[in-house]
Amino acid sequence: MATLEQQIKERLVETLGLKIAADAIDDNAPLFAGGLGLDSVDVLEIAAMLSLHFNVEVTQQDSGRYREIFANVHSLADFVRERQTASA
Amino acid sequence: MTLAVCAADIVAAGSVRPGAVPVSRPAPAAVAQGEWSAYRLDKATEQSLSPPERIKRMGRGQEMAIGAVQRALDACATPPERGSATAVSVGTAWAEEGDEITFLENLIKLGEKGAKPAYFVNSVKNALASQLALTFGLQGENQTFAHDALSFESSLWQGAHLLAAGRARHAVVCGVEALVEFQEIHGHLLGWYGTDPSPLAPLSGQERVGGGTLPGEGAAAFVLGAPGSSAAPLARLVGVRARGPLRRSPAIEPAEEIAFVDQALLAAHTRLEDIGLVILGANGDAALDASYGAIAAGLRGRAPHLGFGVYRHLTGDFATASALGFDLAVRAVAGRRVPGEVRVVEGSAGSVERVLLYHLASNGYHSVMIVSS
Amino acid sequence: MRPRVVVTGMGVVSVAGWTLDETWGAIVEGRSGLGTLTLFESQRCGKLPVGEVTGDPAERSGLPGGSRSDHLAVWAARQAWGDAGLAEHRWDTDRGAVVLGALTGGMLFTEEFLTRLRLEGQVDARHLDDRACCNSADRIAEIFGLGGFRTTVSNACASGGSALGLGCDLIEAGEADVVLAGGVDSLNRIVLNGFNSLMLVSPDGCRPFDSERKGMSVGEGAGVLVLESEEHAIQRGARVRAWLAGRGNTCDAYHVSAPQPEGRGLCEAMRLALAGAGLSPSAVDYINAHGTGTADNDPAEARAIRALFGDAAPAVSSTKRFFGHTLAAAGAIEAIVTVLALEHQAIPPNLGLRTVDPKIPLSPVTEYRPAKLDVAMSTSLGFGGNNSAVLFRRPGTWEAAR
Repeated sequence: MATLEQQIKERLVETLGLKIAADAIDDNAPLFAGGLGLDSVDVLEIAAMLSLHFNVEVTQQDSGRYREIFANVHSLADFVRERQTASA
Repeated sequence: MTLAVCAADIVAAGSVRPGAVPVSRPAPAAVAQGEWSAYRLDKATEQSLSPPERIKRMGRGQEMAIGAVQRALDACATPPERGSATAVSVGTAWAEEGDEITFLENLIKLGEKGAKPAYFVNSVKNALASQLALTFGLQGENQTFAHDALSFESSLWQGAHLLAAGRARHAVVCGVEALVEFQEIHGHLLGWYGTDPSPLAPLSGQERVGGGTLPGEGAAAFVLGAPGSSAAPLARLVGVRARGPLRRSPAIEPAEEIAFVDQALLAAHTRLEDIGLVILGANGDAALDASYGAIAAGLRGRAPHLGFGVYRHLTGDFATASALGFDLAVRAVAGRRVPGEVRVVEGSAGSVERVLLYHLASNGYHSVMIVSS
Repeated sequence: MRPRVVVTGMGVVSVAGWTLDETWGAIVEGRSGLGTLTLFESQRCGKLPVGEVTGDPAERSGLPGGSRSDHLAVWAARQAWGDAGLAEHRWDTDRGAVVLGALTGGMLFTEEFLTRLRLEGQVDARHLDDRACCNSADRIAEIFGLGGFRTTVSNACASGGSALGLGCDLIEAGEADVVLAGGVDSLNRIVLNGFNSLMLVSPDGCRPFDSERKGMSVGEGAGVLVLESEEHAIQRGARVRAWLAGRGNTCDAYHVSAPQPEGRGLCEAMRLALAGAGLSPSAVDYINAHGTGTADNDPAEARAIRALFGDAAPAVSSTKRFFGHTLAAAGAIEAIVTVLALEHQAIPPNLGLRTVDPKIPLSPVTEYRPAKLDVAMSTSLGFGGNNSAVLFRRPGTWEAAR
């Protein structure tokens, strides 16, 4: 069973149409500064992906924490775990 | 009454063309059986337009426009400056419709949760022009024209105009269309496209089984400068005139079409006698070919020296294919000879100094573009 | 000498009303048109206030078929044509042009076709030919027999403004004497879900420049202006509503959907409009701002205004809460509002504004305010960094050419 991080990476590649393998993404590497060239629209793509595939909603209230939540794959996974626990 | 003269130096040109012959794919099962053919970009071209360094996906139309513009810029002795001195003008009937349809398909399939924001952003028709601005750092006026077979001609007119008005030093003008399955569905259901997989042979008298034409895709980009501003332009744009009919899908009258060509010549201060080659946008559709044939005969009657060439056997049929025709015309006058791939169907074309492009669509849109050396 | 471009007719439709009078009436009364979506069902977006036109455009356009956008555009064009008195005098309609800004066109038909195909397995090709956004301009040209230049400009939310600019280009180039220029768009699922997925849509209606603003409200409508060379207008004895004295179109080349934060592109567009009009910033009495109510647009626009006008900014208001953001129609509808402001000598209020965001260096006008207005500007910003500024002067403030 793939880890949450692995699942997220696979969804990232699929959702954003990235030309790299999921494995090539380092869990702790910044998603936005350089590297993958992601931008503010991609934040929303990723948010939509989290909603669709992980049943987790990013709302306007989270906007203060965007940098934190979307920093890297690891922080995304933490956010998902946090939300999934909260609704359990 | 002033007659508007539309002129510009064509400094450089670049294009992205589909493969030499139509490629067949299974028709979407929900809509039809069998296979549908089209002039599609080949694998090598697709790959060259999507370099691995560009990790994030871009729409196909955007990639084609960027590819064509890059080729045009690479061909410039001195590339136009970045910043506000260079304008961008794009003509495209459907822009990044593929992404719009993907967005919609997701809404339908997954519900509103499936709305993909990046695809919506790309759906907005100026996504190609704005990506050109971003990629090449061009901050001048940025326009996108989406009026079917008048789109490229509109962008050409506007690019030339703002140079004449001194609002930019250069204009990057691009006609582009990326074929998506939804367009094939649209065209097949409306009877524009047929299932005959053989290459188009416009004005050859060859009948296509089941009639119709075939769709295509491609992009052509031109760097324009004000007339006289360039030391060694490839060619000069002398005039462009594009009009729509006054009734929806009217009957075509060859005499009226010839009168339209005459108006365009008059506006460009050019005589039919001065034209060496006429490039026609004929697409192999029997009815449209017949109209083109009658019009060409009428023009030839008045100017027996005229040579007539066709090109949609190279590109397939689509609204902005005239940009690719224009590219061939530019190369014809730049090289003083007709490019080998243009098929001369009538007369001959020796040394070419002035080329007139005439386009007529089944729905009555028509245009004339004139280039000279 | 460049021919002067004047406005001799206008026609409009939005949630605020079907006529110029109804539209200005809403402005005088401070009545927002934002309300409940009824055009289609939407789980996620159904509660978002929208500017949905009341009444059926198909019943009012006189057009036998076509998309919702076609009906809205034709209605507005008919109004503008009548307003300009273009039928009352013989003129060469081959020198009449149509330039329309459009984004959605027949998107509702695309949605219906694909939904039926995917959910019911049914192929219904009846409306495929009415999908293209260029159809509205075609119908207008056909109805009025306009044989001149014809095109559709699609520059996202700046389309309407761009179309007006292109109309001026055609007249100045001698390519046309009369141009029906404007913009149209209609509500549909793609656009509403699209903006919502970008988290740009407010759940309580747009509040431009407000500290509690939560985004835009999507609207629909059409605006058509009759642009004409002044010489042609005088020759046929037309009534001139305003002089379109300057305009500017720029591109930020900054980001696909966010404006350059300092509003540099818009600032340059406004500067170009002023330069074209031969006026200094201090001449401007009123700016009808784009002011969508989103987090990014409002501060960028405010900074652009600040950068150009300094401390002496003219009166500013965004009228988006009256109509919603009508997308490609916005630049045209709001240009019409700007001309009406000059005619009525009053500033439309920035409806929905309670407290200006402290980070926004502007003090928009919040009440309908009679004022002496000679020069007014309308601005639009769009995805892809397109910026448009159009500047109008009130009749009587210049000497007409002989």
